[in-house]
Amino acid sequence: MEKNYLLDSNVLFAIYTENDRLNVKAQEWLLKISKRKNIKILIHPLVLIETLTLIKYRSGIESEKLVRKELFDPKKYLILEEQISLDVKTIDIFEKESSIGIIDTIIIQYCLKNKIELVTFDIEMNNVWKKLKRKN
Amino acid sequence: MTIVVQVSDFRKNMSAYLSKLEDGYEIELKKGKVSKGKIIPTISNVNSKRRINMAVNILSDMDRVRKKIGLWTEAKDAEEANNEIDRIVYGVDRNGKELPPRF
Repeated sequence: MEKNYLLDSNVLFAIYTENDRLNVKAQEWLLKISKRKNIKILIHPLVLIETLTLIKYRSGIESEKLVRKELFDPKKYLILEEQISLDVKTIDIFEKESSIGIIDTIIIQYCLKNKIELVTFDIEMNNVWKKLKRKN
Repeated sequence: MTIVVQVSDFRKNMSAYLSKLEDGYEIELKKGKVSKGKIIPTISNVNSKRRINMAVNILSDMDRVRKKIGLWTEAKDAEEANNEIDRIVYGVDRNGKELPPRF
């Protein structure tokens, strides 16, 4: 069965940063996933926006262009073409969970709705994700 | 992506190079510095039902891209990195810490 993974911007940051400690963490996850047969690595438009903004401000436009080319490579990632909407469920989660922001909430709700595995290195977001996944 | 190979090397490992075509690569044959031609995958090869392993492809290019980008952080762990990302993208992290004027 095919399994889809949606990466949070902190995971993409860890994949491409020079910080070896963070990079090893991302590399370990990629190695684990690479052994599975039917997988897709997805990027939500909001994660794409965050990541490109981050790279541009931190490393400059040339670096941003390099990362953009990587992220738009269909052999590596699948960029989701999604309308961003705030449904009642998303607002409900946002207002109940004090530790996460609206972007995190939209991404969690998207994953729950579409049965996609969320991959994040953000402890708070991961806790909320796991809790809601169990309930779902 | 193009694999550049010397004609003599290509002759020695022909099957290994040709199998790369299924992954969407092109092969450019060179004799010394002179290009002798290109081997381009046919449409049927490009549309091959062979499944692409995205994680393997990310890993294979990761170090090369990392070196070019120069994306740095002083964060000691993922949580610190996450707060740093929030400060850069949104100006403030969830602890209320703001981005210094020159970061």
